[in-house]
Amino acid sequence: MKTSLDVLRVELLQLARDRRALFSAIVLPALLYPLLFWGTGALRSVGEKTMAERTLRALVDLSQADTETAEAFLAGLVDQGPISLTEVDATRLKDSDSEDAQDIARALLRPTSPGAAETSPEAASEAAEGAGDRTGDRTGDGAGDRPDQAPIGDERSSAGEELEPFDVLIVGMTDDAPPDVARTSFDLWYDVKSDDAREAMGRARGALRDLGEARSAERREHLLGGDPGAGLAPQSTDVASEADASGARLGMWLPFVVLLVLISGGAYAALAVFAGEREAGTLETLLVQPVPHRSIAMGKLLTVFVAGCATLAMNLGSLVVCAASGLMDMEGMGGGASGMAYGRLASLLVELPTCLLLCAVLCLVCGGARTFREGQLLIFPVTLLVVIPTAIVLRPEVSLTALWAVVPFSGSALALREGLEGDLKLPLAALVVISHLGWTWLAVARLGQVLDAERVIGGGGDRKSEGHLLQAGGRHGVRWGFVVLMSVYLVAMSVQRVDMDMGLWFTFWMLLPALALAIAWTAPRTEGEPRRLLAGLGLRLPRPSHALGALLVVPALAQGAQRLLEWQSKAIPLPPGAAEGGLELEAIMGSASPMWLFFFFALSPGLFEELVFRGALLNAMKRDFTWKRIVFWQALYFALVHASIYRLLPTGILGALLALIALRSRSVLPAMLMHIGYNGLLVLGTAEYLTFTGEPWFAYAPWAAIPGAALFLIPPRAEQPHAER
Amino acid sequence: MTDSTSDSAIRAEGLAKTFHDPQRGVVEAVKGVDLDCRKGEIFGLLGPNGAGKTTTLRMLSTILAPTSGRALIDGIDVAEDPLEVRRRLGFLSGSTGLYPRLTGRETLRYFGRLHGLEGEDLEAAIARAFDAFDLHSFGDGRCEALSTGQKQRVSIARAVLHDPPVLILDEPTTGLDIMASSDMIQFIDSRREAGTCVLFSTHILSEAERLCDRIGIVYDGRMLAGGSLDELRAITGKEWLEEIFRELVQRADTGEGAA
Repeated sequence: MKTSLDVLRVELLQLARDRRALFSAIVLPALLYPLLFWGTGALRSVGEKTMAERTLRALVDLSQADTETAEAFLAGLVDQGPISLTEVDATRLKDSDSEDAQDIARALLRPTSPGAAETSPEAASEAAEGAGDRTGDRTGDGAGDRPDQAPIGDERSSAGEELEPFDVLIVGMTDDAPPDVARTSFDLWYDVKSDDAREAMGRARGALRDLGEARSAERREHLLGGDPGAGLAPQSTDVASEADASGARLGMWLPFVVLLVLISGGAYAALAVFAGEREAGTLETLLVQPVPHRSIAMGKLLTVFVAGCATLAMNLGSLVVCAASGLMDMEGMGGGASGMAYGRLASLLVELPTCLLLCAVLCLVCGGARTFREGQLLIFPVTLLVVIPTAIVLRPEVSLTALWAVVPFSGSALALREGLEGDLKLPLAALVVISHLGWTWLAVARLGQVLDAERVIGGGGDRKSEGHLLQAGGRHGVRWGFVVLMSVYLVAMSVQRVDMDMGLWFTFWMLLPALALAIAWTAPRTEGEPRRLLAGLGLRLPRPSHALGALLVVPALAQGAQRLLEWQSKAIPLPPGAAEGGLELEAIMGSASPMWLFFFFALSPGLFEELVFRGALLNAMKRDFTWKRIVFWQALYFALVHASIYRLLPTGILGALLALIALRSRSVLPAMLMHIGYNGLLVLGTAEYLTFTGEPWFAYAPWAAIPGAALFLIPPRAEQPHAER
Repeated sequence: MTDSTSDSAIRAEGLAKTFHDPQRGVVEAVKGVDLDCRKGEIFGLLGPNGAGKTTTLRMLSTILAPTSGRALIDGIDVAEDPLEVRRRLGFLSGSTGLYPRLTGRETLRYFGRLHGLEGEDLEAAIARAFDAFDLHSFGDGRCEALSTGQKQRVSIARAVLHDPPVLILDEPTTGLDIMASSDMIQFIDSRREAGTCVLFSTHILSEAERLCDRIGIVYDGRMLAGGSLDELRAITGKEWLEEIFRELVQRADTGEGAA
């Protein structure tokens, strides 16, 4: 511990003397919210005031609108703010089709002296002529008057020169219906690029809205003697305290803020103490000192943690000050002016182990980077890695359970949300803390390995190392496994949500084969070793006995999975969302044809999930990893790719078994057969298409697993010799 | 395994290192180096860039694990007890390896503490280093503000603060100006009298000729020949080190082998 503290002290001293680090970790987080809230508030009020005082220019043609409506509208428009009204004859505009109308309106809004036409020469000159006939100016100074007319030539200085543009063109027209039911429509033409035009548009709409509401009220009163819907207007009262309401709102975004701010502060420190030191050569010097590398790693981790927490403290402190001083809009937080429950911020304590875990992840990532710049590029994936599990707080139906508590980042995010809402239970909070400390411990142990001089100096990023030689294929598999997961989560599931059939086609017949090929194609090879794509995908002919063995195991496996799910549903009750998802799946299975079910739920996953996992990934890992490590990663990734915590255990076990079969048979084909058989039996059996599963003899089918397993005692086919490594 | 009976300070037997390069595949950086460096001896590893000098020194200083072979520092196996080896080792890498925002004194204090020095012992060691390397005029300034020569002096002071019996220096004069380079050569020369075994790598022939008791010629990951200058002359029949070096390299390239 003494060494770690020495390292911590020196690293913090280095950071404290680094102006960039101080600025990004301390000054910026402290000033961020005040500047943001004060700055945006001040800018908004100044902008609103300036625009409200601006005298705008409007062209109006209300010649075909009934006089009473026109005058009422103009009076309302003048009430909205200073405006200069110029009457114009827009008859041609009303009679034109939409494309010509745009040109005419543009020409009217941007008049030029005679002879100059900006757009369609014909339309513009016609428009200018029309405008020239009846234009006139009036600055609004009261209601009820028509716009004044003035010769347009007054505004012209010379031929062809662009005159001052108008901000909005308002054309009103009353239809020919009897006065009681006649409707007056208003067309508003403006150019969105101009601030004044947008403001003029807003004022015209405001005047029309007010007029419309007044007319509706008059009409209701006249016809019905009052508003019949008035009694139906809801009067809702929130019985939650202000603290509960603001806590619920805060809980949706504070978990993100905590982790993202920690990344912003800790990332620089992590880059400086690992990648930066490697670049400067100090890491090499440090690692030849007579102290355990784990102590050095711990010291550096503590440095990153302290830096990250300092940033976080400054950021949250700044947030609280903004809230307390009224700079931040507390109404928007779901409470009144005193809505934030400061006491509940104590639940941030439950995030501390998560912060430590995040810092360890940052250290792991930066520990593998050769340079500062390379490390910077790796921060974005870390951000994604953290944001995705934290996003669980956006699902209101998910609450903190013992199972969620142990999921990194998700558990703590849910705990923080429930803490802010005042619902956090102490045992679950303790479980979150303990499990996240456990994850941190694992990360620190891994960090110690990363700091093993061989990987760091040779180095972690410098691929010319023995460590790399031994781990290249394994790392390739692990990294690509993560890519597969993310691709399925972010791409495949999105497409499936849009269209189930198309999504399944895309996932199984395009995305997964493409990933498998990419993994096999980019797999590390030794010097002179040819690229053997089929072998890289595990596509070798297995022994027939192994293929038969894989099929014989299927009934036992399917029955075991069903028993496991039954037990699990009793032990871990499904949340409402998951139950609905299950019902949806049942509905699909009930309505789909057996061929459709078999194709999309058995054959396609059996072929292409196996091609990716037991084919490309397993064969990449096989170069370097022991069989235990391969089985572990296969189980983990296969469980995670199914994106369901309730299928985590069965899919994890299935992934491990399939990996064992692929390893033993040295081919992906038996695993494919087993996967297809397993899925087919479960899906078609559940949909009651397989009548034989109800036969008495089928109860004995699981016993076939014994001879099936025995068949794997037969040695596999010999592999083709590799090139000399 | 330890072997403290002999006067051998550094011994390497069949030391080899294999890297993996994504573009080139397997690269044998060091292909079996034998080395025996005695206490109070200055041994120079001479070779062109990419010959395997730095990799050999990194294996000896426990930074890299050998793929095969064995190395002993002061009788201690680098693979079996790296911590103990590091206690007896002063290592200067190719770069100065100084924390830019620490002062020279803070740097010495930090590394002294990592070597287990505390309190008065530590301050006394720092004072001795300040005197020995004349750090008084700049030792309390931040390292980022020092000249290359000044940085090198702080680096050396750091490497020998704990008075190690073995010193490994990786191209210690590279990038130094004439004065700083001369200071470094004087320092290495002075360690002979202190009984320290100094192993350093260089590709500057004059340096090796002037300083070394024995010289090892490294080329393409192999030790082509090792011995005193006279022994190398006898092997090659050449007078000057440059000629000796060319002769050995030529023999290696033509497959004649070396002594």
